[in-house]
Amino acid sequence: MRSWIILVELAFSIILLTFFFLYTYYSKSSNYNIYSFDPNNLIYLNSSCNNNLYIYEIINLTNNNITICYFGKQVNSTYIQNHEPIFEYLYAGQNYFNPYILIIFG
Amino acid sequence: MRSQYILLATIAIIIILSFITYYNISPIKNINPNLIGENFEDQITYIYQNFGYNYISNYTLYFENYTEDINYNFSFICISSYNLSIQACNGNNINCCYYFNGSFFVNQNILKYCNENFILYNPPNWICFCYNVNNSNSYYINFFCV
Repeated sequence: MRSWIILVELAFSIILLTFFFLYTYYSKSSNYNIYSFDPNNLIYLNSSCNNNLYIYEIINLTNNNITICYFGKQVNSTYIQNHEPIFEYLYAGQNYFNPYILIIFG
Repeated sequence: MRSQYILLATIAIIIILSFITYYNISPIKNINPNLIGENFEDQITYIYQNFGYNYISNYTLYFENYTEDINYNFSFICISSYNLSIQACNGNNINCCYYFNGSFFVNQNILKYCNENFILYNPPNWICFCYNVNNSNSYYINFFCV
C-alpha cells in the first residue's frame, strides 16, 4: 500500500514538473513576440543613443564598433548582462551603405 | 519519510529546471528562418532602391557571415541582368549567380531549391534571388525579385 502511494506521488510530481517546464518554456518565448517589431520603424535607432524607449546594441560591421544604448544613455556591456535579446536585424545602412546589426534587449 | 525525500527531490528538480529554462533561452531561439529571410529580402530591396546594385554583393557577404554567427546556414542563387560580382559565386559554389542579356528561361535546374519556372523577356534591370535559410530544425525558402 505504501509503495503505491509513493508511486502515485512520483507520477504526480513528474506530471507537475512536465507542466511546469512547458509553462515556463512557452510563456517565456511568447513574451518575446518578435513580430511586434517593425524593422522599418527601428531603422531610426542609431549609435547616438537618442532613443529612450529601448535597450539596444548596434554593431557596426564596417569598423566593428559596438555601441550599447540603455534608454537613451550610452553604457558598457555590464548594463545588459541581465537582459535578453528579443530582436535582431542586419540593416544595410540609413542614408548610405553602412551595414550594422541591431539587437534589441527586453 | 520516503515521501518527504520525494518532495525534496521534486523541489530540487523544479529549481534546477527553472534555472535551465531561464538561462537557456538563447537569442537564436527568438529568431526564426522566416525573419532572417524577410531581413534579407527587405534589405536587398532597400539597397537596390536607395544605394544602387553595386552594394548588393557586399551586403550578401555580410549577411552570410551574420547567419553563420547565429548558427544558421544561408545559401542563395541569383539571376540578374547586372553583373553583381558576388565573391561567393566564384568557382563551383552553390551560391551562384546567372547573368544574362535578352530573354532567359528560368527553370528548376537553375533555381535548385525554389520550384519556379518562368521566362524573363529582356528585363533591363532585374535582380532575382532564390535563397534558403536553415538550421538543424527549421528552414525557409523563398524566391523574390527587385
